[in-house]
Amino acid sequence: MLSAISVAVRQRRARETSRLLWKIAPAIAAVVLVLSLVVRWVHASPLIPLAVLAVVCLTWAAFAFVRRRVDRVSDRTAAAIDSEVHLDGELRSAAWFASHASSDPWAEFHLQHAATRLESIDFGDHYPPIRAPRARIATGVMIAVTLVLAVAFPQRPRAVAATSEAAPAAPTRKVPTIAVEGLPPDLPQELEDLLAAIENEQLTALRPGDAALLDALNKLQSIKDPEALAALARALASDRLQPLDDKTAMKDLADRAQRNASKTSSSEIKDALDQLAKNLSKPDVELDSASLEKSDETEPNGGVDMAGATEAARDASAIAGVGMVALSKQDSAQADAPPGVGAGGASSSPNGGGTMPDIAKALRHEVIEAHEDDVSGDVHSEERRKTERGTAATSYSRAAAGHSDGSRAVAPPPIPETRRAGVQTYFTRKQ
Amino acid sequence: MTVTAVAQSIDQFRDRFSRITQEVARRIVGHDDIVNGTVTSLLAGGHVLLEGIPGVGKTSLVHTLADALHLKFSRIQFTPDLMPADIVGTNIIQEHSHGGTFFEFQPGPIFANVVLADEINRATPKTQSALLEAMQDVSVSVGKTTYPLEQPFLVMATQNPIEMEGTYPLPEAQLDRFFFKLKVSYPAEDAMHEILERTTSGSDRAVTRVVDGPEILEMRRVARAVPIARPVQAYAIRLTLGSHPGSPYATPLVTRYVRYGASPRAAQALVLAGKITAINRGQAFVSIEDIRAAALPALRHRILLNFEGEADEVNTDTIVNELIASVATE
Repeated sequence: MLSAISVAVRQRRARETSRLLWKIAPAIAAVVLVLSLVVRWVHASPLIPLAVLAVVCLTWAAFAFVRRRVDRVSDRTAAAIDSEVHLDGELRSAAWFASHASSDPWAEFHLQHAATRLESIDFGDHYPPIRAPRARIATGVMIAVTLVLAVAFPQRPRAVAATSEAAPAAPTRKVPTIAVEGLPPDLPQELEDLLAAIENEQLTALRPGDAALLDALNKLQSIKDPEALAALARALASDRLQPLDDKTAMKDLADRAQRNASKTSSSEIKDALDQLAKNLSKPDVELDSASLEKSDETEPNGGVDMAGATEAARDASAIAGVGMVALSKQDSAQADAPPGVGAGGASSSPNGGGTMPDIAKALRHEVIEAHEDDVSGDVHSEERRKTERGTAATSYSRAAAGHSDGSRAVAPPPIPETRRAGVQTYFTRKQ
Repeated sequence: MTVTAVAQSIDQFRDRFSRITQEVARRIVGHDDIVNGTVTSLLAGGHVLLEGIPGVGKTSLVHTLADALHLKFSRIQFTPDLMPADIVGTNIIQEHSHGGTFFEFQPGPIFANVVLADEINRATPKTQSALLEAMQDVSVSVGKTTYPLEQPFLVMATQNPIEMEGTYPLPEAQLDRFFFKLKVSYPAEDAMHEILERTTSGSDRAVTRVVDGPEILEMRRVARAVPIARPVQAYAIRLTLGSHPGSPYATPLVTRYVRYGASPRAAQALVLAGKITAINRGQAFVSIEDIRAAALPALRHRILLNFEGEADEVNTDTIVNELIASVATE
């Protein structure tokens, strides 16, 4: 008896579940379709709508499985089936007596009669499968569109670059790494990726918060060492059939950077590439810098040639005379430091300054770059620097560095240890 | 008892029931539901109150039923001067043959199997109350002696609507003792033709006795053996409790117009009537519909209206119908 009732209950639940499915399936399919459109719009992973669809399907399968299980036929269910199949209360009453064992011959007669009656009933006629053609069509179409959007169509070119997350659609050329101290070895690869993305029109703007790309751009702007630039240019020109000399490679890279700078709409990328092209196309600076490096290398003991009035000293004094004066709030002991020393000071006071041997030791490993506008007389210069908030322009005037005037030199303030690395990266480059 | 015996009992019950109703139908035209209700009350061991205007066949129905049953029948015509002793009997002084006197109980017309209390509401409440013990305990107490009545015992009372002249309303306690209250209405037009043809042509149809007392008692036992599922019984209880103003199942009409709801006797009547209806259908179970079918005759006279209900002339049938429609079956 209970098995016969269970058959009816199972078929009824299957029908109810099916009805519920086709009632909400179009809505769920619509939601997934909208989700896939949104995912494409924001360039998220196309797997998201597929995953949501899979989760919905699994949830529904679990729900249907649980619904089809018949643990105990409740009086409510029995009454509903009784009413729907028009059994005049017999199934409901029999279900109750079947679940409450009784030896009463009247109850047995009742159960036998009910079982016989149930066997003659085809519950498939009373609970036919739900057809719902419109719901099926609508759901099928929407799921098909979702799948097509997720699988068939390629991703739209990204308006916002994200070099740290999704890889570009087209594989970029592999370039060799460089071994330049202070620069990441994969900087050429990052630059190549950036330039390739611009050339492929896959990078038109900069997404806020893209730390990796900003970092790469900052590094590019800070490159003024001709050897580093040459190494960078060589790395990027590594695929040429005939190896280029350094100047040609740098010129090619400068042209490419300039060309790509005009393509991008991001002012930050544009500035960075412009600056890179500018740095690459300054042969005189390269020479000067090279000579400076050579002169620095001729003094292995690292002594500071204060009377030499090198370009480095002049530039350093200029910087000290401009930037550091305003920041100087040191006591007189610090002010006694020799001009043009740059970072550090002569004081042994507890608030900063290193001792002279320390400064000398530090300077042995520093190269102070000369400014391109290093001419006699007062020079008005404007330097554009990349800052965290954008591009900042600093205007200053300095005196010609024909001779070192100690009266105009002010000892620079001591550099806090926490900012020392940043200052070194900004002003100097270790050899 | 085996399953086969159960089937035979059901068939036998149905056969006897149909024989009674068919025999009554030989004389009574129409009123099938009244006949069924009356026989149901008889088989449930209850009593019937038939209400209707004069001339619709109430007394004829009872007469015919008594004729169809092989039972002792008596009729009491209730009048305003009728006394209780006229119903239950009294002790009278008798003389011994050797001299001396003694009291001897002279049974009243209540000592019968089928008692017709005709126009019961024309007697005073004092006299009406003489039936209380007989209807409930099937016995009569006179003086210090209690006399049992013979089973089956059935009181079939007729009454005119309460609005009629010279009537006394039945006490609530006595109303509650009636298993069913059946309202006899005017016969339909077709039935009227049949009535005229039978009663004006001079051919009187004789009614034969088809069932005797032991058979009726056997039918009572069979009816009480029908099982009822707990959810169905719960519905009968909810229906009864719903007639009480303070019940959670009470309907708005009950809350507004009812002073006292139906007693547990009403629930008993619902279940017993449901069982008889079920077995009369050939089934060995009671359904919700069986309970619903018995709700109106079993509840209508057990619901007492409050002043507002009386003033608004609310019909208790309306209240019961609302109960049937609103009380949940699950």
